[in-house]
Amino acid sequence: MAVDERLRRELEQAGRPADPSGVYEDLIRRRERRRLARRIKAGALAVAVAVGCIAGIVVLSRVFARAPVEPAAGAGQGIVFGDGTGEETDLFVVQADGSGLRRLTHDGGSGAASWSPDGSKIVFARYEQTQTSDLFVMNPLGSEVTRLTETPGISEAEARWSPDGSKIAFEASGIGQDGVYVMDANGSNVVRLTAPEMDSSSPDWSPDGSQLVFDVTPTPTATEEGPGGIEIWIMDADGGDPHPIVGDGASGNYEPRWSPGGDLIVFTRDRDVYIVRPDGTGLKNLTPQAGADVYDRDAAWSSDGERIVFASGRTHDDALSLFTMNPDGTDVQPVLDSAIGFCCPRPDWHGDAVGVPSPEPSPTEEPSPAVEGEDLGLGFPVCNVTSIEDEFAEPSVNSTAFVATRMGDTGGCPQADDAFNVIALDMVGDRKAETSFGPIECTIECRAFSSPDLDGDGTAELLVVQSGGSVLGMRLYDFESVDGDVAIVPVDVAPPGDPDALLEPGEQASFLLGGDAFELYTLQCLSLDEGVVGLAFTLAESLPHDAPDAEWHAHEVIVELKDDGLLHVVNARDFTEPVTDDPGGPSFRSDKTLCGANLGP
Amino acid sequence: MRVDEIALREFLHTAYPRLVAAVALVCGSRPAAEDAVQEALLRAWERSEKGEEIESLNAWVTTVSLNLARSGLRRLRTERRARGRLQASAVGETGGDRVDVERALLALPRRQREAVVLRYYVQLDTREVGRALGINEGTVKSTLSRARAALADRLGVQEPEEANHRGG
Repeated sequence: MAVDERLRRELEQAGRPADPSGVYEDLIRRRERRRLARRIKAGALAVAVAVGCIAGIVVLSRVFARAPVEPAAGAGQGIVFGDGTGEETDLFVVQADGSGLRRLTHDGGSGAASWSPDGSKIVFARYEQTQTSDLFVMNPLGSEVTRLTETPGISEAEARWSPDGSKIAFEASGIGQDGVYVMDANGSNVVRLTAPEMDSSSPDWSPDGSQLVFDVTPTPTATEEGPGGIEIWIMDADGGDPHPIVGDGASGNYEPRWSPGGDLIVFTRDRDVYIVRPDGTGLKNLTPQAGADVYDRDAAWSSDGERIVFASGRTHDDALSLFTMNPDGTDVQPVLDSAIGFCCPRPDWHGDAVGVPSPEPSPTEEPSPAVEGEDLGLGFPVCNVTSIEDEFAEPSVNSTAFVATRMGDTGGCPQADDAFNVIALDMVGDRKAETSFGPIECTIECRAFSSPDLDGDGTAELLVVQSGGSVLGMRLYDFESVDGDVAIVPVDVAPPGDPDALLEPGEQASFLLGGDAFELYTLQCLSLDEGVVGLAFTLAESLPHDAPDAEWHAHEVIVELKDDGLLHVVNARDFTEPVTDDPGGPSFRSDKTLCGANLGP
Repeated sequence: MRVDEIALREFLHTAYPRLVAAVALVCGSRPAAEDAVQEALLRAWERSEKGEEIESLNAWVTTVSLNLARSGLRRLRTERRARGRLQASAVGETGGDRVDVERALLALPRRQREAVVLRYYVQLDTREVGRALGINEGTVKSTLSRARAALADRLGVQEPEEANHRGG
């Protein structure tokens, strides 16, 4: 075949084989650099924790990318904690026995949460585009989010409700603003409690509300292992009588949490969880068993004071997980069977220590039951299965498209981020795939999303969510018949595409959907000339942010899936329109369905 | 197989030179290709040290290095810059085969480029190409068919007609 022969000949001439000399030595150096970087990251993490800052957070592992759990059971109690993906952190809640895991935030910048005394609210810090954090309140389902502070250039974090629920103590950081503050629970009447020269953070209330415990960095250069150390202090609730209770001038002592009984304070010292009485006596390491190199940190009490939850790196490389233990350090039990990011778990527990395994578990007991996978006929079990039924391959013949994750070799459902995720198609209705495509890369989420008929030929295409968060990232796939077989084919963008709409020529077609009050990504289905279906993809930003005269500055592309199997940009334009109070949203808001197809599951 | 110094050195002297060349043909950037293949080798090494079984180092590194070259904004930018350089330098050249085929390749969609290079340069069969790219053999055939048609057009070669029907 003429083309085949010429391709072989010309590629042989064009390909320039590389010289392997010195590459092995380069690999050695690269590996050593990476090991060093991991150690540096671990050290940097401790500094970030010490200054109570969630901005400089280093996340060393992927988090849960699990399917959402039904929120009804257990709402209002459990362990709320932060978990990171990439350099982002979101909040989750889980019961102490590992059940009821659910995700509360999807913005990638939320952390350092704590429960209100009655369990009806959660206060937390959220980082926004300004790179400083403000405090917000939400309900235990993650909705009804209300802003408490709005201070450009100053970060508020580590908020804790007073025992009677009327006030919130928190830390602030910003030039000349570092310190512990208190305000009314609605965000009003902010009062600074610590002296300007005192670099103090992480406050927590005594159970009677009369005092606050917090950590203090005596010198600006102190780190957990540097000169000066970090100390634990106590002061009256009005800021009076501040005095240290723990501090040896060398160790880093931080994140103190007062026990419900008032007789003990648990905190992190370097890489262990310690306990001490409020008068500074009875200092004890609760976690010596994990070794000095293993992180044990971020401790908090159950409401009845019977157990302590903490984060530890004892079971995962370069990552943490959550555990509980008795207040004397015995009976350490895992809460999660998955790793969470290094920054910043900061668990907070509302509810009594019921449901935690008995003090003497059988040594052979499995820490968590294996997840049972599903057989879709792919030759391996899968989990995290989502599906959409539609006429994918032939008009008037329903088939089912699945998106799923391959089970781990030792059981368990891996996080989609680093897993083998696959698309499969069942054309005969036996829930077994006749064809499949994979692996596909996913971040946070991996699921079937919609099945629009974009080329108007009576059969559906498939949109798959391959990145999650407040903005969903979706990729487009088509089903193609070749010699009687059906193949799942990624749809690429035809030249020249439109890089401003993130449609790069030659790359797979992808769209964004979602956003917030300032940035919005929408999809609408259109009828073009002669009954041709088009899709309008709009990327918009409201400017100036939060101003009464704000306008949407939008870039819109109209795309069409043509017979060559490529997605063509047939029109592109920029436009503006006023931001209004119309509850329906702007003119370019997304349709409720996509070219007749439902969105979901 | 266990990935150790012996396996790595053998790979470097046998498969590495052509794999870097292949990835460079796909992504249009020699430095990006070297980076991707070396990163893939390092990951194979680290996984093997943790006890993970790697059945075929060649297949694993081919798949992972293509994925690495494909992913990430940084590499996209590298690739875009490389395309710009390539197009700029081609203006002053005589239009020899190397530039012709490289330019024709870079004008193809990414997956077509990968399939063509693996099939005609690395000389894998369609089943092996499918395995490397994570797609089934039918998809490989349809991808190659489209790529051949586009390349024939650009290179001025007659391409025989093939039946190819789209659905969905």
